[in-house]
Amino acid sequence: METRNSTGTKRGVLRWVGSRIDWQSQGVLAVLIVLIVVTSLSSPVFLTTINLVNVLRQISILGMVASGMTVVMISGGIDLSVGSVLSFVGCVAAQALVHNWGIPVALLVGIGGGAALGFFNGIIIANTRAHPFIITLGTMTLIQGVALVVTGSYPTMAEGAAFDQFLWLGSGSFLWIPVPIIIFFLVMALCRTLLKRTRFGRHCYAVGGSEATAYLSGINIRRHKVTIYTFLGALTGLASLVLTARLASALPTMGSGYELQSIAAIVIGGVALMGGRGNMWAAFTGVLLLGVISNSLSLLNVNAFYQYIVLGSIIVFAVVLQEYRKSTR
Amino acid sequence: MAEQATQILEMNQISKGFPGVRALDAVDFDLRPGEIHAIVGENGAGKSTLIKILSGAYLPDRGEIIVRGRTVSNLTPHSAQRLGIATIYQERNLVPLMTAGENILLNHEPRNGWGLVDTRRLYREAQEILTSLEIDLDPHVVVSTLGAARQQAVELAKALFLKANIVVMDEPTAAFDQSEIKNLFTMARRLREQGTSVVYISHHLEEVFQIADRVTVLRDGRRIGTYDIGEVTEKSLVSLMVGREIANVLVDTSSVTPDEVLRIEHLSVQGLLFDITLSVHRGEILGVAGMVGSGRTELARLLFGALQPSGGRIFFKGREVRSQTPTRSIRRGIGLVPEERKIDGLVLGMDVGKNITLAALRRFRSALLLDLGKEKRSALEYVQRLGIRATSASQQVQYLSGGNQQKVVMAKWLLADADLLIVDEPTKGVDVAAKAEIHHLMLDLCERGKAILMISSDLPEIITMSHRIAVMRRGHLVTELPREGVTQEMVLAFAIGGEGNGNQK
Repeated sequence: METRNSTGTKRGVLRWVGSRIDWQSQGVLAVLIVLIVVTSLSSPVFLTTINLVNVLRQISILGMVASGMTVVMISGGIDLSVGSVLSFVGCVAAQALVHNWGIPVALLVGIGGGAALGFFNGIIIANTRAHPFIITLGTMTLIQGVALVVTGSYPTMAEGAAFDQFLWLGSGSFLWIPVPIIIFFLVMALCRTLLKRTRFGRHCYAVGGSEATAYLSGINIRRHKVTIYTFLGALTGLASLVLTARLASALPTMGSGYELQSIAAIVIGGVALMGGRGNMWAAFTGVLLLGVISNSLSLLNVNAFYQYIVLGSIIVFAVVLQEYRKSTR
Repeated sequence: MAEQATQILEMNQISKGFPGVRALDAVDFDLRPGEIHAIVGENGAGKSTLIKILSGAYLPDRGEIIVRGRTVSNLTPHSAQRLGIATIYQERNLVPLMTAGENILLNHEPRNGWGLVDTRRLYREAQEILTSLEIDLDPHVVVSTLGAARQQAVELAKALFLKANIVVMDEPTAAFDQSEIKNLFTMARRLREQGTSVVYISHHLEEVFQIADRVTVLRDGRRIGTYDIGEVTEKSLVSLMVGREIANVLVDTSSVTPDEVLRIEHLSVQGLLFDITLSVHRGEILGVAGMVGSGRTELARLLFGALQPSGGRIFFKGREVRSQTPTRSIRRGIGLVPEERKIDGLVLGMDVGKNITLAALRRFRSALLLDLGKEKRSALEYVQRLGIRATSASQQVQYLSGGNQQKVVMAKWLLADADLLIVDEPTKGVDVAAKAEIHHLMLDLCERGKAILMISSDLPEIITMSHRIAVMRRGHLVTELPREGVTQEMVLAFAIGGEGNGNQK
């Protein structure tokens, strides 16, 4: 075969950078540190405890979704419906609270309802050869529609004793740490253990790395797929409860955007879009990076519209680097 | 031809090497105008490499290619096409959702005065070509609705439209039935009458004798000779194809017991396998020979539960097994070392240790979690036992050599403690040293009471390693040979349907 040495220098440089950086951990960290240094120099508020806790609380809901998404994407899947699930499940749980059915019912509706919707996705994905991208694009629209119909597109505002207690989930603290942050860290710890130390986790990497090999090694591919989408659904339901508690209301569109943000965050962190590679540390740094970016831009009084431009550029840059990293192998 | 026509194609002293393999060694090949020239040889003899060079897919390391008196260098698939060389591969090169006519004139669509495609003229021209080849096919039919044979006919028509005067057919009849083969031969003869030359590659000698004017024999990357078809017989061709002396490795038969591990009766898969009956015993290697496409790989997948039978019965360790899946097969004690180890055998991005333990993770579970320390120790033990050369058990398996990768796959099934190991092309693409190690390992397993079903295209491997040899051909098990007195010629004759079993099928 002919050699391909004669490619442009730009390509060469990018390739060189890609091969030098262990993008999965150090790349994001480097960007993060630069960002932190620059922002703390230009804004005295940034490095205060209050602001940093604030950043963590802001990313906690996205972080819960992203943790589940990491498990799905390492297995070679993707789920675009999480935003709609977030909206729908939150609205139903809020209704349960307004009707004073009690907090346990609301928790069950939230987590169980999310799991049920995830199971629905998983069953379709496991039994067809269609790509999960297109299937969950469909269920995303479907579930969003149902949420709008059921609520008549009206928000559900907090009222009643049960709802008041429920708000603790979003704004309460335990040992001075905000509850959403605690839940976020517990979820990450759970996912990390699952991925690293269980058969289920090993199956994620095997299915995402080579479905054919996983199948011929005795892994039940269908069951695995149903499990991961159900798991992501349950975590999305949990995130939805926390979001509802934080907002003290549920809106039928409050989850839109979470699907793309969670996918973007973990891909930036180094979870492979094609599956087989990634870990919770990567997911966390990716989510944290998004949080710090939006926090910095706000502190620096950057117009919210420009934040989209910055965010989009970073996503494209991260994915391009990942591809170069792959091609150098 | 009235006079001795000049050659339309000459390939002189073509050599091509791949890492660790010398695929072609100073091979000469020539083609006269309007002849059908067959190339025969065992799997791995260099046929595919030669035609890939001719079609521009590979560049030769040395040698020259002369097309119609002009030396061409740096042949690419594109320039080969412009020189009139059309290659019809086993996998079709058609756009499945376009019609036959659109495919035939692809990128050469006639246009009308507005610059738009003149559909009516397109189908008229396509029809003319099809008619000239005596192909009874409506050019308006969408290609994906056609069977393999008719798709190939469309490809031939396309080649003719491109004014190809050299058509290369690589194993064209692999998926064909008798009448489809007959049609193909008619088309090939039509091409010949129109002055087009055909290079015909086939495993099936009877086809070669029906259609070819000349035949070139390749063996181990060398040209053994080119003969007019009248000069040779099936028997002489087979011995030319095999031809080499084999160092006789002594395989001990003492490990073989009468204890049946696996028995299958009248097993069939629609269109792929027909009425297969065989058994494998504890301590025995059953070799399964046959050409590529004879159904061997399907048999392996079937026994492992990755393919469902349409009829027949399977007994494993004396018990009849009904619904099989890979998961259940592994639990029963069956392992599969697949032919395509990089696709089916390994998770390339995972490390060596995790690949080894993948099929036996259950064993390392303590409560809900995996005992990672125990897993690592176990993996390491197998790395050492099999002499897998890796920097550590946490090296990614994709950076290992072919032989070491194969040993990782073997280790996976040793760890899973399989009683029956199905190995498909166990030494394909591995170097000589690793090959010997893998052979040694298989014999060692037999000593320890395992049963092995070994599929191989490597005839010396089949002859030396097997305690018994089953030969497959076109989905049928044509014969079962004892170890004693078997020669490569005998196996090959059964595999390609030479004399003695011409009435099979």
